Amino acid sequence: MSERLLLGMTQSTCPRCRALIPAKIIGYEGDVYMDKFCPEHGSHFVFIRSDVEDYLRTLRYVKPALKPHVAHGDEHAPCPSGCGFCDWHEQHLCLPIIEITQACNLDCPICIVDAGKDEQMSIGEFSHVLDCLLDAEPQIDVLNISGGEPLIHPDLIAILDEALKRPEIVRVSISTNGLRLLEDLSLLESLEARDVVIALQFDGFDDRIYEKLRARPLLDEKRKILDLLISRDVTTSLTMTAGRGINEDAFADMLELLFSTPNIVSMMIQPLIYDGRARDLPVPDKKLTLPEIIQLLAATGMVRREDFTPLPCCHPVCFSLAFFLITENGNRHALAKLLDSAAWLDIIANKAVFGLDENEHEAIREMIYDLWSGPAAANPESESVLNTVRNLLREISRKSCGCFDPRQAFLVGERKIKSVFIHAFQDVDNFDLARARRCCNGYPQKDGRVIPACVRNVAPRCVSWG
Amino acid sequence: MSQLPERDYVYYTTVTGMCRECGDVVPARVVFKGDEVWQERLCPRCGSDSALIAGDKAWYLDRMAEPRPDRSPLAAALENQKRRGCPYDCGPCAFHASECQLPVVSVTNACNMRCSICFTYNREDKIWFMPVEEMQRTVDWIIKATGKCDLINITGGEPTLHPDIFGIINACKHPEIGRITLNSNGIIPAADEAFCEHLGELGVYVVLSLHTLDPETSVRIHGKDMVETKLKAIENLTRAGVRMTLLNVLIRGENESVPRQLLEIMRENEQITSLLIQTMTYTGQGGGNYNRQEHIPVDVAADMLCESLDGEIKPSDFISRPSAHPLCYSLCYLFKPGNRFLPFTRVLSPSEIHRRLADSYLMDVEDDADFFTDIINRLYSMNRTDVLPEFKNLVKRLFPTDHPITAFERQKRAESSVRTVCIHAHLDEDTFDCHRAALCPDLVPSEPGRLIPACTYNLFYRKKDKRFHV
Repeated sequence: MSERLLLGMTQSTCPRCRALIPAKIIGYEGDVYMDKFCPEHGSHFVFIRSDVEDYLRTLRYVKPALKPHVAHGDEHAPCPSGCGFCDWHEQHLCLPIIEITQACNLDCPICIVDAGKDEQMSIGEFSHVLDCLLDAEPQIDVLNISGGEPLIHPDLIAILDEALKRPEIVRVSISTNGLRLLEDLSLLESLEARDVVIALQFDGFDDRIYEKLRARPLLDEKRKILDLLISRDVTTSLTMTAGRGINEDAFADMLELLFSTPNIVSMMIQPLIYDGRARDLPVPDKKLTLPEIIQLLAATGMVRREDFTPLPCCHPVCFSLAFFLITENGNRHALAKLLDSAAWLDIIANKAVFGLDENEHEAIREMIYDLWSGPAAANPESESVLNTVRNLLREISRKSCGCFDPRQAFLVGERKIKSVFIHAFQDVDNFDLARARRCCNGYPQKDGRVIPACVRNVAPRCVSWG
Repeated sequence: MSQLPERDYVYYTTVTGMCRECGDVVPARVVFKGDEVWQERLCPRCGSDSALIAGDKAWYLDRMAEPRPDRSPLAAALENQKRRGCPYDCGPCAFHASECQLPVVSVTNACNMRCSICFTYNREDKIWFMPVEEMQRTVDWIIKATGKCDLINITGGEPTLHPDIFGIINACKHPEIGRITLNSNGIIPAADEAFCEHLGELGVYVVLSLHTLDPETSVRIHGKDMVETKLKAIENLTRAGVRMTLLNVLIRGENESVPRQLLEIMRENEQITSLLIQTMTYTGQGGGNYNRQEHIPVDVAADMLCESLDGEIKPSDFISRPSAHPLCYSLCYLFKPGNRFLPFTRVLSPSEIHRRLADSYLMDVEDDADFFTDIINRLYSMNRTDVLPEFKNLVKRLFPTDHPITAFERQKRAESSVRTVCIHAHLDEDTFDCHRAALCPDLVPSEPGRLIPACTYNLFYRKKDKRFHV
């Protein structure tokens, strides 16, 4: 079938001048494309995502959003130029990503943020950013520190302490290439003491991958970093950039690493976007996009397509995730399989992290009852699943001494539940205002505004910041 | 720790809408509130405001998941000119996603009524009648652009006021144009039997506006009681053998039961072949008498019609129009064996119906006796003895065994037993959505060579049209 189907219309960006322009969303030969028109640069027909059926299904994953206490943006400026978030933004901020430095000890050809400048955020600036965040949000489940390479910030530990002295901030994660950890063990000790999650950039087990993505072979160093984190039992998540012709065959090894390593609690897969510095890379005819990544994961036989659910917290086509419960005998079960989808949606709605607030624990309690009559009853291992959930709850109530402490709950939950997230960042080709308006991942700026991740990365021509 | 408040709506998507205050094209969010679907424009200059666009979320999601073809065989009128982007380049531009199925030609802005529901912008101090030569030129380039055309609609103002309306109609007579429809408020047909007879001779279909049968309501809608006039027009047109569509503008809290009354009129009058329900739009020079916030989406209009019909027609008997946006059109095709209405959907799947509609307003009756035999079998299995004998008669007439008939004759005979209820929601400033405009198959010929989607024309172009306004 070569007929073009009109699925929707939105505002996207001109690949040449980044002006916000009208775009048709088109189904064509089973995939999803955009047909855009720029008054200056004409028509552009671009591939944006595989699997049109999956796209249409995914759009149905919607849930009510939460409303932040204050809006630092300006709805009186044309969207998205007033972003901060503004009062018309469609979600609160689930994951703040604070870039504390522009400096980096790598020079990756795929860097979205074009790091490498020598600019650092001061502790005072950082503190002001946190104050602004907490004006809007009563609690931040995970605060992500990023860069550049955040581990080379000279005042990193003071910055962490500035965050962690605020009880509203439950956990801090650091996005890092990890190289500094090999040079400075005391740095890792300091991070461990602060219970920081290491979000380690790890793209596969082949130096050709690193040569393409990171401009030099890194596998030996990555292995050493992993060994170090494993030996010290540091809570770790993996961040994998996945690109066509680069590491499509790495998923089996990556899943094996996740499932077999107790201290690795999650894996975040980010399809490579050809923006920022990567605009100079040769763009494949069809980029590797989220639905195909799920297919490739399923092809390993270790997970199933149905284990993944679009995340209705942000726009549903932006994220997909699967949670796996690790039972006491070491087996794993996809949570989506154990729950009927409605209850499942309630749990993942509005939060990108599992197991944190009291409502969610209430939902887990409900899960137990559902398990008796739900699909798990047909699962040969349902008894062990139940035991695990029971133990999970018992531990939560014991450690919380009747008084609920989200930080403790995180510690208990994370080792029993592993997650695979896929985060489809947008680039100038597939930028969709309908998605950007619902974004729940943002970059807080020094002036207190929060710029949605993809608005920041794509930088439509109307947008400027700090 | 305090929780953030949950919003009282569910965000679905963002479309490209319009600001009623400043006229700018602005983002508009589509949200669910309970089961309802609302479109809320977000104008950085003038703030936000919202309108109901579907009564039922599940219906909306199902309809939106039916993909529409993205194709326009029309030549882009502005191909070599500077373009600004949708919706400012209508002509249409290469972005347009639908062919032209119904050219809507305004032949005058003169009108002998001042209705509070009028959705066009006209200037009474600048009355214009299209010269017949212009109509000829217009038809020529419509055919050049579209190849052939099942229908052409002549409208106004009140087109029967045109001093040479028959010249205009004759200018539309063309082998490539299947059918000519003429809009009228009924005043002249009611007053002039010879006029009606002339229309009958020309084979013109009249689209007669009929919004109420209650005199007081009529005064509110038209400024005076038009009921007797409308009924007289039906009488005269019927006597003259003119086929009619009854056009009802449906207004919340004002005439909600009227579509059911019109359905009964259609049941009794063989000359009335379709019912067109246009939900109230709040634009143009009228609309002021009514509360702007009370849009009736097409699914709600179907509910209103079907209420108290005892299941003879149900909301589920309405299907989408494949070449239009699902929020713009909902169609119900009815077999009319004798005095009963039998919705096509009871014996055919929507895809079978769509296939036979073949991207048109009109049913395509192929030389396909097996297909109708199949329908008879389905009626047997449903034990529909109330409609079976008449339906078998219809098939005998369509496919006579003793003598062959032409395809044209078969089409005509099929139509004599088919009725249509069409619900059409026009766009106003609150409901404008570029996606809907880009899919519009109802195009207005403007300056030579240009075809502009009807609602886009009303909202963005009519006030710039030097014939009517500037």
